[in-house]
Amino acid sequence: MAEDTKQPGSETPTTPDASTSDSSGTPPPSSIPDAGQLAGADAEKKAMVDQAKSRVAAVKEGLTPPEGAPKPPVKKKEEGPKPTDASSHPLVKKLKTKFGQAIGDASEFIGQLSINVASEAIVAICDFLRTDKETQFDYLSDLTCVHYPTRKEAPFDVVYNLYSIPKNERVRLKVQATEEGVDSVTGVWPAANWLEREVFDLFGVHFKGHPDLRRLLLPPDWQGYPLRKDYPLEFVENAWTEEHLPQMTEVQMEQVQQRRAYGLEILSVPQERVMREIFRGGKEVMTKDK
Amino acid sequence: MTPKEIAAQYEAKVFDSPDAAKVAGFVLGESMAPRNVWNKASAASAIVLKLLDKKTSGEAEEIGLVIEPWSVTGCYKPQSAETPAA
Repeated sequence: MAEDTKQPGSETPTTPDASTSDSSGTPPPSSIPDAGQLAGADAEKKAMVDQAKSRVAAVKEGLTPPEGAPKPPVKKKEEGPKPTDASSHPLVKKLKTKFGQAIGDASEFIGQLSINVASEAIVAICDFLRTDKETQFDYLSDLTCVHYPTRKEAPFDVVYNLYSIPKNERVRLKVQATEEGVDSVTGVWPAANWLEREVFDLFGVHFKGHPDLRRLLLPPDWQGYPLRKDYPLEFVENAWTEEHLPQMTEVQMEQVQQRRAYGLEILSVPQERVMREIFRGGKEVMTKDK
Repeated sequence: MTPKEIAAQYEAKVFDSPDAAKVAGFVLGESMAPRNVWNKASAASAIVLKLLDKKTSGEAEEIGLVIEPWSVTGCYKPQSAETPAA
């Protein structure tokens, strides 16, 4: 082992003996490794290479199936969890005994309980869930909406996410609604006030009995509801922008058209610059929200 | 979903140029020039959904999308058999 670890240049160099060197300057035979030594080193190296090759071949042999063998089946992706029926859930049973037909299908997905509820009974159900000592859903975590444009009879699902702080439990209620909307639950949870305004603002779903139903995020005279599926993602010039935002100059318009032509509209620099100037200058661009 | 997939889902015909749509007897409608592919899909979806309303109301016999590299245009074939003036 000691010989193996020796560095190549660590041997003591043999000084050529003057007496042994001839006048032609040829080094003495003792300083040059003889053919036997060279052959030995080569053989050793070759043996090591062969050994490594045989190891690689052994590994490959283990990996590749023998010729003619059938291919192993392709592993299918593991399917994720699917919602399961939760009609036997204690809370669902309790609600069914109390409200009967107003409680629809219930499903559970990764521990989250969702219950479909009739829109007429939403306030009564929410009130019950809040005040009942066994449930105590005292916190309206979120109130949101989903748009299903192809479901003509009721294109919206209003979704109530409830949380019980004392019980540490959650439940999701879903109500199918039209644009006319559903009854407001601001009487049950005052926090629903702004959440319902937000849903009205972005989806156009009305909440009957809301104390102050008006737009929350968008200007009051905005037209359209941006979170509906038929509303495009991209900014579109409309009546509000024409009235309230400065128009682009001809040069800017030309720049935009050129960018479009070259597929560089992504940046949309002129529009953004105009917007920045407006807000930096502190110019009032929105009508007062009254 | 891509605009083509959206068109397929709502049974809308796909054209690669406005002229092709006109030749097929379609009337061009709303057009959008979105700045990226996500917005393009959204624009296609928005246009198709509006056209679907036309189809269900009986105003349009067929609906279609003209999908160009930088724009999406809605088109529809009017219910009457007459070919519209181009």
